[in-house]
Amino acid sequence: MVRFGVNYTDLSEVVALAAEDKIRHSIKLFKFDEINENLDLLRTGDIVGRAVMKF
Amino acid sequence: MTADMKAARMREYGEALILENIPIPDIQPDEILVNVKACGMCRSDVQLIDGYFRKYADIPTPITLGHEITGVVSKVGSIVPKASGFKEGDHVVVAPGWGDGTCRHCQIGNTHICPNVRWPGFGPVGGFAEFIPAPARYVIKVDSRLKFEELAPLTDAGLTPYRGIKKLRDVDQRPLCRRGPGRRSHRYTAIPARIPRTNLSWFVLG
Repeated sequence: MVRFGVNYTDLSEVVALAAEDKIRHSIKLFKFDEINENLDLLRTGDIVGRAVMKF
Repeated sequence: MTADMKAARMREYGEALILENIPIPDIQPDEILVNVKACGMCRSDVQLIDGYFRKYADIPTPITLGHEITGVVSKVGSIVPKASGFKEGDHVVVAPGWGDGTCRHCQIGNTHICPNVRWPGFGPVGGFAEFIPAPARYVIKVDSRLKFEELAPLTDAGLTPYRGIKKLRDVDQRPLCRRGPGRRSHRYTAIPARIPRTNLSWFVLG
C-alpha cells in the first residue's frame, strides 16, 4: 500500500511557521474553471512551484 | 434544503474532470462543513486520473479530487466538542489522512498510516468543490491573516518535506538532499531555518 506521510501535529507546526512568516512560496494561482488545463500543465511538468485553485 | 455547489469530478479514469453542480454534502455529527477557499493541485491528482493508484485501490467514480484544502468553517457538527472552539467563519486547514482514531497508529498520532485511513480527494469529497465535510479532529484553525492560496499547499507540499526534516533534525552532520524540480522541491529552502542543528544541504537539479 502507498504510504503517505502527514499528520495533524506536523501540519499544526507548519501553519505555526507560516504564522511566523517563515515560509516562502512559489505559487501559480488558477480559477475553478481552469482545473483541467492546469492538470494538463502539471502532467507535462510545466508548473513551477505549486498550482493552487482559488474560488 | 438542497443547495448546490460547484465540484470538479472525475467520472472516468483517464478523462478530463467534469465541472458540475452537485448538492452540498451533509455532515456527520463529528464533522465540520468547510467552505473551500483554495485547494492545491498535486502530482497525485494527475496520477489518480491517469490510473496510477488503481493497483493499490480502485476508487469508484465519480471522485471529487483535491486534498490540499483550506477554507472557512460553514457548519459545525452536533457532537464536535465545544472545547474545540470551532465556530462559523473560522479560517481552517484540513489535515489529510483521516485515520479512524482508534487504532494503535492513530493513538500515537500517526493517523496517516491507520489501516482504515481515508483521504479527501481519493474517495471522500475533495477540495475541488465549494464545500467538503471533514472530521473535526482533522481540521486546524489558522491565523485569519494568512492567505488561503499560501495555506493550501502547506497541507501536503509543505508538510511532507517538513516531516522528513523533523525526523532528521536531531541528527548532526547528516546531509540531506532532494532532487528536483519536483512537486515538493520548491518549498524546502525556507523550512530548515527552524532546525539549525541539522547540517542541511538542499539543492535543486534542473
